[in-house]
This record gives sequence, structure tokens and C-alpha cells, in this order.
Amino acid sequence: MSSKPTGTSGVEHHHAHHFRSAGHEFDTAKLGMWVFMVQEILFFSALFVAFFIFRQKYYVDFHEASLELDWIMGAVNTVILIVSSFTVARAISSAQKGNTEGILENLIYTLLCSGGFLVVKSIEYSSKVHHGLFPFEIFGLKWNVEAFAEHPQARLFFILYFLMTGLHALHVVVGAGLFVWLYRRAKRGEFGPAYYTPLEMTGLYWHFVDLVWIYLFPLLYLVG
Amino acid sequence: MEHSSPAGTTYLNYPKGLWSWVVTLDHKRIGIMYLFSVLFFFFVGGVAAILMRMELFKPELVYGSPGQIFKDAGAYNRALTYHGVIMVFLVIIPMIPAAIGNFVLPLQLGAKDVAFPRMNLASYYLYLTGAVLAVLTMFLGGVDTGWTFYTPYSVDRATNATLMLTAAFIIGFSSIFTGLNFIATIHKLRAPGQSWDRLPLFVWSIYATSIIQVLATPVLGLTLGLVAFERIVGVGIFNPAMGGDPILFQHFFWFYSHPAVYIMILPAMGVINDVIPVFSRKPIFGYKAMAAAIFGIALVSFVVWGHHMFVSGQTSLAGFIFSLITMFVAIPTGVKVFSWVATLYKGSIHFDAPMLYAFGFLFVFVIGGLTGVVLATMALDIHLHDTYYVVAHFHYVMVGGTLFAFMAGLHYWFPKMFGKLYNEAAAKLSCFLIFIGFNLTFMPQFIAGQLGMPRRYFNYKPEFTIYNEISTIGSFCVGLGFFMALCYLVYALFYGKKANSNPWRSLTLEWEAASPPPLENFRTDPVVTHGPYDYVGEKV
Amino acid sequence: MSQYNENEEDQHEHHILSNKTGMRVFLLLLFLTFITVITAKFTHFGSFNFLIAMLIATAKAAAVMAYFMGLKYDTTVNRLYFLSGFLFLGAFLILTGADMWSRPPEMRVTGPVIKVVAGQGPSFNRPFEPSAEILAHGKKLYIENACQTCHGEDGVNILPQARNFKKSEGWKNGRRTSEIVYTLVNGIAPLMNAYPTLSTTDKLALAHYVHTFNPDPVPADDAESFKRVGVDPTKDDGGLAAAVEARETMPVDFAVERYMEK
Repeated sequence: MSSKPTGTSGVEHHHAHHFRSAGHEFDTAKLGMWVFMVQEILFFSALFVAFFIFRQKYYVDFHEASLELDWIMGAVNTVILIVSSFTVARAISSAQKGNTEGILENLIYTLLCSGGFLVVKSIEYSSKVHHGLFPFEIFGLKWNVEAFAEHPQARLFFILYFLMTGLHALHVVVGAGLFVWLYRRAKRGEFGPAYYTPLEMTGLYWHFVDLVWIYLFPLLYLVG
Repeated sequence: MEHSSPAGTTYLNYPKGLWSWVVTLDHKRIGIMYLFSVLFFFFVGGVAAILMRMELFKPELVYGSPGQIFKDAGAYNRALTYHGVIMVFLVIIPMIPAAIGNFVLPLQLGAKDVAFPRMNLASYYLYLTGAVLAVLTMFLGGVDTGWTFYTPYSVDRATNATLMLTAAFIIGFSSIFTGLNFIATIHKLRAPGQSWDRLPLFVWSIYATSIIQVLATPVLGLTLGLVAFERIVGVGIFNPAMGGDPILFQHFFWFYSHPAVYIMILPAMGVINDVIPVFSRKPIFGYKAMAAAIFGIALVSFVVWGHHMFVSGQTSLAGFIFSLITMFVAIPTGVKVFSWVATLYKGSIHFDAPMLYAFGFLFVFVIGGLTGVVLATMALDIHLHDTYYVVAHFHYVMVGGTLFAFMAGLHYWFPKMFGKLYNEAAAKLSCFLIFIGFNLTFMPQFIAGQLGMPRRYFNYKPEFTIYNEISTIGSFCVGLGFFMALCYLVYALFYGKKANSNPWRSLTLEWEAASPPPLENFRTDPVVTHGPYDYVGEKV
Repeated sequence: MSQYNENEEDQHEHHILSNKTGMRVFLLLLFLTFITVITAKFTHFGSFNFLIAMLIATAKAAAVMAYFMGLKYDTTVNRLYFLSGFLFLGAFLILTGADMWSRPPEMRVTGPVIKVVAGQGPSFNRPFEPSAEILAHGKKLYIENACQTCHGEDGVNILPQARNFKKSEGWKNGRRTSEIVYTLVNGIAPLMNAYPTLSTTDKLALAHYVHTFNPDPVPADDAESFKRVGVDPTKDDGGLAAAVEARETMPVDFAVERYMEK
């Protein structure tokens, strides 16, 4: 069992006893994280399959419905997430080089990006609600039937839109929470070249969130 | 967490105290907690089954007359739903991987624990939470959709389904985390010398099972979540009025639930793989083929789900494809069955309880498997779908297969888990009762089903009476057998003879640890120098 | 002393993503996003749009996976696991599609399937009036179409909810010939079927036969009521011989085929 001073305040990391070294623990955690992400792919898969199936079946209605989405906002969100993936990668490089300021700075940028993403999303959602394009019968809201009188299956598009982007947004919120936690640990000097496992794992998670959006954006906003 | 426990202690008595169990990170303790939970829910699900069989003893009874248990079809539907949900999600799926696997896997690998012990404990509590919620719905009016939750009934009309769907979602994550944990453990925590080709086949089967758990369960989670969501918000993708499709639910549901049955049977095969060589004092025949067959079965299991939907309204093209691919699963399965038989050939057979259960397994699993091929044939399934033939088929593989293998494993590893030996004569007797009872219960159901008796029915036409009578009598026999097993095993826990570390003279690594093992499993770090089944040159 | 198996591909070096590579990947991703939008919104590749968008998305995904997620520098095992997720997603999609996308287009069972069988079946002079021939035909039809299973062979209903032809009360649509024909055209919910496979002549025949059960005189009819069911009492043939009677029939093979598909 080894422990090396890490970070600027020399906080030690003790790896768990059933591992032979911190490196062993890191590799195991990484494998675990990849397996977790495989599971996440399959978790989203049902919605993607439903979307592909119904898009082929109701091509015209889906196309008309997707024209209602603001592709500019979608593109902005895509850029925001790409930036955030970049800053997360920078945060991890900083940790690997022992640069705590770099970790903190890049984590802040990442947090700002995730916040920005959610802001844009809420603008989009409220605009949809405002136009009566919220397809679910809750909170007293009703679907605006006249908007798509000729294309009744547009409602199905919006059901899938809200489900898919909603589930994705939930993952963004969880990610933001994780970054806050990481920031606090980094501030205490816990991360450095010998130990930055939580950063790496959360980074992988965050890149996955970016991946999902890379597919969602064209699918829903551009060629829907 | 302590790194070496005091000499003379075992994981059972060190660390001390109830709280140390509640927050334990030790895989052995977690395995034992799973074991007791699974057995408890098995009892609950079993009671539901006995009630159902009592109901079906005679046809067309009037409520209040002797033998009539349920006051109407709705009550019967609730019973069958709980029997299904409890047995599938709370018992058979976690039974071997979580209860036995948690205990045995790290020991067989020579590891101190699983890769992520805290996740392991979380898995257990997720299981318990989901289980409690599921059973709670019983007291809130009960769910009657059947364990398959088919739309549109589960969306539009069924009562209390939302809570049960949530419970199943939670249990799903328990399953996913367990699978994830095992994959990481098998890859990363093997002792020196424990190379891939020296792994016991039980480990290989747990590995394949874990992959299925990780890949398939999320789809179930999302699907059940979608149904719950649709119940709450009123519209969804399974609603034809919106352009949705209730058959899509079935695709999503069975994408998980077919691989799920392989989550049930692969660990069972793994147990048999470990038991047969020990009790025939022979290496397993075709180790590499056996490992490959495990993965072959796992792989094929993912692309055959439509065979549950031949008469649902899917197109005949899809039905054709699924029927054809389903046939292929018989190939690796056949490899395994023939290899087991070849292992027995010229072996020195010891008829201890684990081996008796293994023999029972071989007999009933082959029947179950072959009748599966019958059902995979689309033309036959059109006649047999939703009849008792299907019920008999899956009970033969799930009960005959998984449960028998579980009993084999439980008896095999009992001395390791508890350091005690059970009464062998009692074990043999109850095995006999269970085997006879099991066949009495389910064999007539093949006939009744083929003659047309539908499943999930509260009553039936008088021409099916004799089959139901025999079946009910058989079910009591099974119940008696399990009750006996409960008795002698509990007795053994307290008053059994002490077991040494390797009463079966097995060559797999877990038997090098003490019985029961100390907290850290091995007092000295193990090094593996031989294969798991290298039984050579032993005297009879 | 190493306690665990060293066979497993352990990473002894953690790859550090250089600033240069990171920046390059970042710019590539921005560029590809730009291309995605251009090709989807500002060019016209028609149905290729979808494929192009998905391909570009996959290229972006590959860049994120290889560099940001570090799969390029990672173990084979991790790569295999992650990519297998997509493989199974593909299998899920394709096999579900095998069902969903091979569904025949929804069609009502009328129109081109329904054959027009004008001129078939017997025709009668002044079919709106009873005659020995039309009564004989009606009697035959009564059994052929299983009317007696509900209404009885003697017109006394076997099924409690069915009309008793011997009595004059309770006829929901009326007891006149034209009104009986109307009932045969439209049915009466919930239990009386409509009979679209019978020609108007056949329906008239049945109406006449039904009258024979009842001792009371047949109520007088009028042209309006007859016209409502497509009979013209001013013409000798009732306007039925010349008219192309769209008798709704369906070939048995077609019916079986549709049933099997479902």
C-alpha cells in the first residue's frame, strides 16, 4: 500500500486495500467507468430506436415538427458542450502535470458551460410550452392541436424530443453537480499526478454526455 | 477497513455487531445478506404459487367451496403477477450471481474483495429497496398486469403499476452495478498464476452473465420508466392514438427479458460446470469449448427476443428471422450438455447432494431446452403460445435449471460459507422429493398446454382436470422438499459438524481459504499453480 | 512482491493529452459542427441529408472518443467494451426495424380489394313485391346466412336480444320491407350485423321471407323509404338489374392472408 503526497497541500491518497497500487486502482476504476458508459449507451438506446422507427414511419410529420425547433439554439448548445469537453480534458491534463490552478480554472469553465447549456435548454423548453407544443398532459398544459392539424404525428415527435433532450439534460445536471464536488476536492489539493481518478472518471462521463448530444442535435434539429 | 483480522476469526464473527453487517463492505457478508433475502422472497413467491395451484386443483369452482382460493379472476391475476415479478426479479435473477457469486467469485479469483465494495453494498440496498416497494404494492391494491406489464393495459387501466414499475427500475440498477462490479473484478483482481485459462468455468459464466446484465438491463429500466411516465403524463410512444405502437413496448421489453433468462441460466450452468468435475474426479471435458459456448449463448441471446412475439402482431418477416436465429442457441447449449456427459463418462462418481442436484439439472434442463426449440418453431408456437406448454417450458429451465443448480451450489459451497456440514441423508431425501415433485408439477402441464389449456387463466375446462390435479399434488411435494431443505440447513448452521477447508477435495482456489474464510479471505496471498479441474490419477 | 496477475493489460503510463492535440481536436469538432449545419440547412442532398448528418456525427463522436476520452491510448479491453455498446444498439435497431419497417401500409379493407359482382345472383321481376320465386330465394338465404341461429327457424328468436319475427312490436327500424332492408344494410348495434356481402336483391328476398313469419299484414311502404336503400319501385327491375351493384366481397385467400399477417 503506497501513498504519495499529491496536490499543493500534500493531501495523501490511500488506495483501497484490495488493490496493489494506486495505479491498479485507477485502471480498475477506468474499466468500471467504461462498462458504466456501455450501460448508458444502452439506456439511451431505446429512445433512439423509437425515434428512428417513428421517423421512418411518419417522415413528413416529423420533418414538419422538427422545423419548429430552433436549430441555432441547438447549434449553440453543441458548441457549448464541445467547449466544455475541451475544458474538462484541460482540467485532467492540468492534474496530470500537477497544476492545481489549471484544474480549478478549467473546472470553472466547464461548470459555466454546463450552466449555459441548461439556460439555453430552458429557453427552448419555455418557448415550446408558450406555443402549446408541450405534448404531455401535466401541469395543466394542453397540446396545441391546431398547430399541427395536418400532421397529427408531430405530437409524437415532440414526445420523443422532450424525452430525449430531457433525459440528456438530467445527465447534464448530474454532471454539473459532480463538477462542483470535484472543484471542492481540487481546492483542498487532493488531485495531482499520482491521483486524479475522480477527475478522469467524471471527465469520461462528461464526454459521454457530449457524445449523446452530438447525435441528438442533427437527429432532432437538422434532419428530423 | 481492516487489513488482517485476528487469528481464529471468520468473516461471520469479525467484525462484530449488527451494525457492522449493515454497513459491511465485505463481499462475503453481502453475499450472505443476498442469500437470506433471496430465500425469503423465494418463500413469498412460492406461497403465491401454491395458492395458484390450489386454485387450479379443480375447474370451475364457486367461491366459498373448498379449494377455491381467489374470489375472482382479478385476484388470481394479482397472484400470478406477484408470483412472476417476485420470482423473476427478486429471486431467480439475483439468486446465483448475487447470492452465491458475490461470496464465491473473489475467492475463486484469489482476490480480497470485489473491485468496488461500496458499489456492491449499494447494489444490495437497491435490491432491498426495490423488493420492499414491489411487495408493498400488494398491500395497496395489487398489480394485475402479469410480470410482463404489456401495454396498453399497463398504461391505461392497471392499478398501482407505477410504484411497481419504479421498484423494478431500482432493482434493475442493482443488477447493473453487480454486473459492472464482477466484470472489473474478473479483469483486474486475479491472483498471480490465475490466468484466463485457469479460471473456473463458474467465473466464466458469471462474466458472461455480467455482460448481459450491463447491456440489457438499462433497456428494461428505460422501458418500464417510459410506461410509468406514460401513466403519469397521459401520452407516450406506446399509444396508438398518438401514432405510437404497443408492440414497440414488447420489442423493448423482450430485448431485455430474453437475455434476462440467460442471466438466470448461465450462472446455473456455471455451478454445474464446477460441481460435475469435483464429484466425478475428472477434468471438465472441453474447457475452451465450454467457455466459448458460454459466450456463444450470451451473444445469441441478444438477437432472438422476437420469439416471444410470434402472435403479437409483428410481421411474419420478423417472426421468421427471430425463429431462425433462436434455433442457433441450441448449438452452444448442446456443446455444454454433451460436454457434461462426456465429463461424467469414466469418472468416479460421488453421489453427494450437490451431484444429485446436478444430475437432476441435466435431466430437467434438457427437457426444458428441447421444448424451447419446439416453441422457437414459429408454426408450432402459434398453437402453443400462451398455453401451459410455455409455462411448463420455462419452469423446466428456470426452476429445473436455475433452481436445481442453485441447490447444487448451495450444498456445494455451504461448508465454505458456514463452516458446517449438513445431514447428507436428509439432503438426499429432500432432493429426491423436489425432483419427483417438480416433474409431477410441470410434466402434465406440457400435455395440458398442447391440448389447449391457456395460461394465466383462473379456471379451465373439465377435460384438463387430471393434469391440473397431478400438477397441484406435485407442487405440494416440491414445497415439502424445500421445507425439509430449510430445516436441515438451518439445523446444520447451528448444530452441524464442523467442516474442514476442503471437504469435497476440490481443486478450485476458494477451497484453499478456511471454512468459513476470514475477513480478508486468504491469510497468505494465494498463488495459482494448476488448472481448476486438474483431477488426475486419483484412486477411487 | 506483486500480488496480482500481471497478465492483464495494465496501463503503466497515463497518457497526457498535449495542449496542441487537444486544441486541434477541439477545432476539428467545431469545424465538423459547422459542416453539419451547412449540409443540413443550406444544401440540398435530399434523402442523403440524413446519412450525411449521421456520418459527420459519427466522425465527431470518433474524435471525442479517441482523443478526449483517450481510447486511442487505452487498452483494447476498454475499447472493445465501449464499441460493443454501439454494436448492440445497432442489433436492437435493426431487428426491431425488421418488424416495424416490414409492416404493410395500413389499408381499409374496401376499395380495390372489393370485387364488383354486378349481374351475379338471381334477379326478379318487381323484386320489391313478394312472389313465389323471391320467397324461395329468401328462404334459402335465411339458412345460408345463419339467420336462424338468432331468429329461429320459425322466426321465434332463440337469442333473447334478437327480434321475434312473429310479433309486431319492438322493430327498431320499422317493419316495412324497405326498413327490413335498411336493417340488413346497416345492422343494429350491438348484436345485429350489417350484411354488406348480400346484394340488394338478396336483402329484398330476405325481407319478404321474414314477413311470412308474421300473421299481421305487411305495413304499406313508400318510394322514399325504398330509395333510401337503393331500390326504385317505379321501375320493374327495381333499378337493380342495370345498376352496377357494388357488392362488397373479399376473396377468401385475401382474407386468410391478411389474417395471417396480423
